[in-house]
Amino acid sequence: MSRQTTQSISIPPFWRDIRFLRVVVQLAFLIITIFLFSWLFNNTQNGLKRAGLSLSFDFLDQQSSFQIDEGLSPSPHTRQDSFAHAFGIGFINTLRVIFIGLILTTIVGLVMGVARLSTNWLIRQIAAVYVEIMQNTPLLLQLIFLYVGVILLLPSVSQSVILPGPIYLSVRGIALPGLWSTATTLPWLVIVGIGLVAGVILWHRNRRLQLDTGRKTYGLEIGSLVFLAVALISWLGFSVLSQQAAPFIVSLPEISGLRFDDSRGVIVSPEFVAIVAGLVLYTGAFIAEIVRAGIQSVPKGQWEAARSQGFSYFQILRLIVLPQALRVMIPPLTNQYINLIKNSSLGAIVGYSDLFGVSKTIQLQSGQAIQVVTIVMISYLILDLAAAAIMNILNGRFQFKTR
Amino acid sequence: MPTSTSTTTPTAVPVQRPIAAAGPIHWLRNNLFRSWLDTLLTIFVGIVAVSLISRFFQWITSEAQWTVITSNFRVLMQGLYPIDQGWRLVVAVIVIVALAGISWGIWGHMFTSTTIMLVVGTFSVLIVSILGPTISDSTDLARYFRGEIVPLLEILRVPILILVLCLLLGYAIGQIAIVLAPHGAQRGAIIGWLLSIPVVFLLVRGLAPDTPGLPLVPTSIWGGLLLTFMMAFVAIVSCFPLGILLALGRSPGGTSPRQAPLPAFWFINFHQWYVVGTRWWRNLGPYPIFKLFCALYIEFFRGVPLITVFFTANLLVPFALGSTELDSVVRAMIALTLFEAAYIAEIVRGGLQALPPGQLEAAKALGLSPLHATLFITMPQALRTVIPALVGQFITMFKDTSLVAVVGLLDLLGIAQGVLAQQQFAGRQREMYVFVALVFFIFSFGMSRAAQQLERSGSGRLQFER
Amino acid sequence: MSEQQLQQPMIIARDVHKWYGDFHALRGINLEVQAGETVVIIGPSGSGKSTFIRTINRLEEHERGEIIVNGVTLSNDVRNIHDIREEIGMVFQSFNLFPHLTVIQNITLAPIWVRRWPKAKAEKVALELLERVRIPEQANKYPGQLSGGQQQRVAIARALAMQPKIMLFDEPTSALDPEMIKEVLDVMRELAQSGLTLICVTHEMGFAHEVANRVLFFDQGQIVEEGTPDHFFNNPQHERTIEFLSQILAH
Repeated sequence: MSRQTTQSISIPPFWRDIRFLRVVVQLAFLIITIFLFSWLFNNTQNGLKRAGLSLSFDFLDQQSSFQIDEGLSPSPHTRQDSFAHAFGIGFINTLRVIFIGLILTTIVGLVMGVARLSTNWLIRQIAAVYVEIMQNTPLLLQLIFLYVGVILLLPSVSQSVILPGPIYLSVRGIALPGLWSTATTLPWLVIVGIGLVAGVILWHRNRRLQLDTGRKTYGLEIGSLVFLAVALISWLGFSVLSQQAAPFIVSLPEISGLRFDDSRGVIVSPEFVAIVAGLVLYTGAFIAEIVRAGIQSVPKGQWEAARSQGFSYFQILRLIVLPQALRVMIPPLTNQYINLIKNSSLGAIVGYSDLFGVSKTIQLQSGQAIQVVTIVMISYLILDLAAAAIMNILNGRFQFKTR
Repeated sequence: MPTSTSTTTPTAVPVQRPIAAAGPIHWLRNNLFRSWLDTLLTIFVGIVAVSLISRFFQWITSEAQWTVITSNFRVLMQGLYPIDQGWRLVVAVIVIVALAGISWGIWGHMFTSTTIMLVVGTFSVLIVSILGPTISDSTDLARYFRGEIVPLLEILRVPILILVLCLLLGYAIGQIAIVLAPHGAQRGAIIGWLLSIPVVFLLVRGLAPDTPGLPLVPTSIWGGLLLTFMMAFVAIVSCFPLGILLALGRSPGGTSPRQAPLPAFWFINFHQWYVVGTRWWRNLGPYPIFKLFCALYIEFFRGVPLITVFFTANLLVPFALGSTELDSVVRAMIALTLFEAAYIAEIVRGGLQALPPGQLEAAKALGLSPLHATLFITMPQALRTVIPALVGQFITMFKDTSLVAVVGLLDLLGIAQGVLAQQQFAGRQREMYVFVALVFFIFSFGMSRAAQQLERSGSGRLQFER
Repeated sequence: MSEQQLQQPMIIARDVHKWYGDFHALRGINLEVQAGETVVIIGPSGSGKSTFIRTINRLEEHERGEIIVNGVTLSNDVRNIHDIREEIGMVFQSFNLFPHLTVIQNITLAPIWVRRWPKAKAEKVALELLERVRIPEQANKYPGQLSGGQQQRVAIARALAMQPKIMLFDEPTSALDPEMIKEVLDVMRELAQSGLTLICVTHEMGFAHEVANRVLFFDQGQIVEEGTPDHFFNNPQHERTIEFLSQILAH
């Protein structure tokens, strides 16, 4: 009966205590990991030293000696600007792609997702073919095909394909009509802002009134009417009565010689078109599947229950189905948005000067591999974390409260 | 029959269903012309679709010049892999396709229509490529057909024949095996897949430069579809265990379900920082360092683009390991593995979290050690529930291999671009890219259909309660 | 040796405390259970009764006090952390059968990998146990194909396969339809008579009355009252017990 002796209060020796062993194992792991990383880091440092490179970020102040043509202005980065400036321009270009891409891809995804559930056979089939083709071929291939096989085969500027708008499609890019601001833009926007606030306040007040009294108060209608009236009257006031320029003027693109006129309309480069179109078409297919699954995830019983209570079709969609569908859709949607952000780095492959493309050039020019890689990765991490954080807040609003 | 309740007697003449409720007209009205808006949409979309499709057919039947494929077929498929060693690739492909077919026969179901499509497709390719050269050049179409399409089919017919035959034969074997010995067949197929990994790798790579029969073919000269496949193959096989380890490391959480809510503006009080800090650390569970490490690893790799990882691996690995012995193919394989492991980890973790906690408790209560509980109870169930997501990730991985072009490797897409850069094939981008897209499409579409079947057949789902 | 073991209590709990975050779930439990005894624990939900029996096989760790099972003190000692669980079988409210394994695999898994029995022996024992819980014909089915009562009987067989000295039942009939409760209780009754040490959390008062040697009443993490079934049901002392019993028996 050896066990009899352990009857008294017994605390095991510490080397047999599982908590102690857990700490030991983890510390050992930590030490090995740190050791491994420092060994790799040392190696890298030595290798770089042998190659005559340093680990400092001083090179960022040096002249880049290359220029970037892609950006918000016609020549955003010249040979005299610093490497840091080049990074900045690349980052802005990445942001442009992401911003436009996220908006367009959401629209495409929504439309295609709804189309996949359409009662119209033809629409359903076309949406299905679109989704299958996009999902089952690599994005890189689509991008290259789009760029080399479609956009670069467009005619020259002087023989542009002209779509109504007018929108010019050419090998040198796409020219669209643009809204240009004038001297009166800012005051007008301020007035419109005030109108918007007034409209929203009216809407909410009337809605509360409706909830309290049960009388229909047309809150949304009155609110938006107020807002539109303020916007319209102030527009007329600025443009007609005060003899000044309208708050915005429409600038139509024009061709001057072999190029588009830089001072008219909005001109986007073929590379920008390729990367945005490629990203939007590709990610849109995945979002379409998410939208479809989201709508299908709402049980039929929800429709039936709502219909039995006398809700109209659009009321059911807005009040019952969409809030529930969104709950299912947001987590995968977040993944797709983050994918789009990461995939925007493929712009470099079609020659778009985004963060990754610029970084490759900087790495070649300066030879500073580690620093460049660090900056690039941290930038993308920040972008992704920001997107994830925003989507997380959104997600919190749509989840069910459960016990 | 009580007569008190029924006042009408059933009519002797069966009521005729309105004719419009069935038949093609009904179908058309229901599916294409429901409302005037629907009709408008159908007509508009129909016109656009028809014009696009007819344009594509016109291109296929009179403009496309497939010599860019036919004259570069071998290099597209195997890169610079020695021609006299090509049989090794053929054997590897046969092994894998046959295994895929057998697995299909065991776990899936081939629809008759699929079989018919496969057989008819193969036969038509065979017949056209054999009879094609005998067509007279009487019309433009016939001349074009003989000059451009028949050579393409001629070069494709043997690979297609081998693929389809192996697939169908494998399927038949699988179907027979599942009837004869259900458990043995499943186990055999799994063992077959596990064995195929080293077999295929050794077959393709060889042992040593002077091994008789199997001389070494260094990874540095792999290229084309071969490289694409081997990249995906190696990455799938090696990221899987790594991903499972990461998922396990990140999984266990702390147990503190009820906690007093924090006071408002807790962050002004230093003591509250301490409270929040310890609470956070406790919530990390019994292995906080493992958990933090795995979480950091996963979030890092899921937060950066794959091409930056390829780029980094290519730039820094030679420095970090103090030598340049690793050729760039191996570097890319390592990068892809490290990257995809993070995604696999999150999928597997999702499966683990979906398990009812009672499963692990029951395993513990029986005295199973943590290793045995994971091996026999939690992991098998978690993996089953995430099979569809895993296959989806494998498809992504397969497509992602095309990004190795960034570091100058010549995978299928890389070779295609290399070919297009030659003067004689300038302007043949569309043909080339359509071909490459088709190759990618066939394989990823096949995989995704397989995943759907697995999902539907219910082998991914488990009943916890009746 | 057997005499010695009879004298020595199978389970000793001294001043056992447990917290969930800031919630004090167990507030000083003192209990001795003799070998072969059948103890039934009743009490309102959230009273800590499930938590307590889960501390006995260390599914929950107690934070203060001492638990000694079969002469082994429960501690963080890696040497005996699993030994204890081999001696204690547990049956859960939600069965917790392994859905990816057949009934016979469910039962033989632990004997093969923990007790290191040869497979043939484990299967022989498993079939005997299935006979004992009266479902020998279900051996090769999956849990999902069985009814709730059958699943719970498989769970009992699975726990018995390790030949434990103690069996813990955590509300084994709460998730069952009324007509299936009886078949599970019959099996448990037989176990109680076979000399195993049984601790059972249940709401089946009839079962408690008939089978238990002792009944414990838990409330707010403490044992409020304990006694023989006759004493407990016919002459309860504590007002919480009286209140609880009147609510239960009113139905």
